[in-house]
Amino acid sequence: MSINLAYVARETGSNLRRNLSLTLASMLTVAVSLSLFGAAVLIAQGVGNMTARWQGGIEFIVFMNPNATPEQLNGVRTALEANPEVDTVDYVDKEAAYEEFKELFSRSKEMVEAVDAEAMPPSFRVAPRTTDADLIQALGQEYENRAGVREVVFAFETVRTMQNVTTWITRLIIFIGTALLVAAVMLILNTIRMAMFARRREIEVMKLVGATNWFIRVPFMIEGLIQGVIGALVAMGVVQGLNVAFDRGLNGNERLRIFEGFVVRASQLGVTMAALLAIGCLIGAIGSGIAVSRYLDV
Amino acid sequence: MIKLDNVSKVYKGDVHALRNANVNIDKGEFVFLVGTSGSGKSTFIRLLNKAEEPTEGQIFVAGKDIARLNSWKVPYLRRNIGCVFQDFKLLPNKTVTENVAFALEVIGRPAHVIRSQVPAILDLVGLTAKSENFPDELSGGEQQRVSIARAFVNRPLILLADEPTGNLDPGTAVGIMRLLDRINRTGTTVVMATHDRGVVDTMRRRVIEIEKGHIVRDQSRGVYE
Repeated sequence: MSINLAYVARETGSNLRRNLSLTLASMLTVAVSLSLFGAAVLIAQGVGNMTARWQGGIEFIVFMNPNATPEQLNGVRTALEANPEVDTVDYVDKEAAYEEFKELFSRSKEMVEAVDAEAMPPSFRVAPRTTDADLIQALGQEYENRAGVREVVFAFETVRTMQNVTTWITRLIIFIGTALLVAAVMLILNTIRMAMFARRREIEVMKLVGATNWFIRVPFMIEGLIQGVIGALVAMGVVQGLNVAFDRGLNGNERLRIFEGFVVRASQLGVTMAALLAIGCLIGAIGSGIAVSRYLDV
Repeated sequence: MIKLDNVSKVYKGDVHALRNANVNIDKGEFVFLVGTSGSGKSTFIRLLNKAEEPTEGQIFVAGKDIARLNSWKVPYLRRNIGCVFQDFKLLPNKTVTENVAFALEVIGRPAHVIRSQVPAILDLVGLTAKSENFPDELSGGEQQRVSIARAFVNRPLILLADEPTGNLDPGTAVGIMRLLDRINRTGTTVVMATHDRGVVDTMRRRVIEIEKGHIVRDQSRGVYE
């Protein structure tokens, strides 16, 4: 099979030009859907990074009543230490709690002076063996109703809320993105079908004089591929832009320091970009593949 | 060169275009297929370059059973068969030279071959002066010459012509027939479907008459009726 590169480039180029508006529409659809995908992946990765940061210290704290008896304290401690799910238990007594309190509120002297060590609740800081949030919650809740226990506080509750919200956001984005990808496939398919219609005389003559099937197919397949790839390149630019804007926003604003954990690493971004390009190629190939096999009778 | 062995073609709706046809055409023959419209002439032609599949029977072209030909081999079969039609099938946005060159280009012939073959074939059909014109600037006869040039530029073994003079006036038709005769004299087998009585009667070549799918006459040096 001899396929002339110059011929393929010329034919593909003229096909793309001939249906410029439709070509742009399909490229844009690919770009928008892949941008949404990219954004969803970025968000998911950011939340993932944030969670990983917190996971090292993921724990719950069993706060005791300030007036809990030594028997009650010992009972809880023994129960915690005997629990096979518990990794380490740190007892923070009233004095230590007061020290922490003083540190936290060092700027407001009145507050520090208003309370003394006696009012501080002693607590057990527990690091469980598992990192599964549900298991940790179940574990912590076992101690909520014990004598002398005031409350059990979970460090990851904020993280969990955030995870839930972002899970729904990413699901929504991925749903919209998928719908747009399907639209993109159909648009590419139709652009190529139009190109085939515009060139039906040439195709007829080509078949007549014995051009091979691949010779006839290749320019159309490349046309679809180009639409997918250009759409993907635009999406990659958008995702890169979003990421840069997020980083800049963080650096410029002290109050947003809390979001630092969300920053996506360069390697993660690279994987996302490669995936976008791959999906773009795939979309183009699927669209043109269907068009070629269904509408090109060779 | 061409052999039809008990070939039948039935289209959807029980339309019998060809019934048990047995035909043998030798290399270098010139054969007219005659019959009224819808008699099966075009089907006969279309079966030979595998534009249609026979419902029954075997068709041999250049010694190969084309019914059993792999679909990827069909293009290579067609490179040995030139085709000419009543409506020329020229590409309107290409010049005469480009139209003829296109046929070589799409089968991957190198540029230097195209550069030497195209002017030679345009000279043969007498269109050197119009080589840079577009098809709509040519008369019907000239357009048919371009289409013959395109069909013959690759020097096929067989030339199939489906009503090549159907759109032309009698005077122009004579010119086209002279050209086909000349091509036939180079050893190319020519099969031409026509209902142009004048052409058949002047040429006095082999005539195969088809009527409602049946071959009713096969006569060497025959006339239309």
